[in-house]
Amino acid sequence: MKLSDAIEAIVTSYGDIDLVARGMAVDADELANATAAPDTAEAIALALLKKYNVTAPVVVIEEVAQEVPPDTTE
Amino acid sequence: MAIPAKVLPGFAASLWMQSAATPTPLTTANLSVWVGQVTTIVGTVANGTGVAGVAVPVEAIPAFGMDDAVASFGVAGSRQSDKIPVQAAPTSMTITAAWNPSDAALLQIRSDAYSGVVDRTFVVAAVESTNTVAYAFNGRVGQFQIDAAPGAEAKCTFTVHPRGNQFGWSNN
Repeated sequence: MKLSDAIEAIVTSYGDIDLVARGMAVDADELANATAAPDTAEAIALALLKKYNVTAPVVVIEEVAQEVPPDTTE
Repeated sequence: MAIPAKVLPGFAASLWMQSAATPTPLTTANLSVWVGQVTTIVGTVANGTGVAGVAVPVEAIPAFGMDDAVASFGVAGSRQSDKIPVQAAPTSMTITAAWNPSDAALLQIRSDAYSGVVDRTFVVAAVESTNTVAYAFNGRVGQFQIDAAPGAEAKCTFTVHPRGNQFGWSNN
């Protein structure tokens, strides 16, 4: 679902907006970068969407190459 | 739902409502928005008047907020169910005001009570100095009675029933 559509649906809702937000799956990356001015309905909608669309932090596991001891057999 | 970012050491509460005969109530999200939404009803300054709002001359503000609602049902005979916890619901407000047949707000509330289906945004404004914390909710008016007992001033009593989950807090 597009983030803008989700925000529009929450802002114009007369129902339980927490329940509305719970049923909306939006792109987590787009949501993480979205901003809204404080004290606006859009900010409230974003806060609710972020509550239910958690962005999982990307963990990069780097393999550490272990040095192979030189072959000293003669 | 965001909670107010202010603490008022002491406050006076007042009740406001949208003034139009058939208003468009604020959406649930906008009930928590002060600028341009709640301020249109209560005004931008403490105890001001918004362009689309009017003060309701009540004697006292009853308890407001939410409580844990329960649902129970009865069946034929004397049996009744256990109470079932359901979603927390806003508290209905039974309000007494001095009856003034010329007051526009009371006449509008009486009209709403006759209709029973008019959704309207109400705001309880807690004011301390220049700080205002507002509890806004959408509700319908039910029960409007006039008590014209000769031994005292005439009073009217009405009940505002909030719509489920349609409430919000905001502050200036």
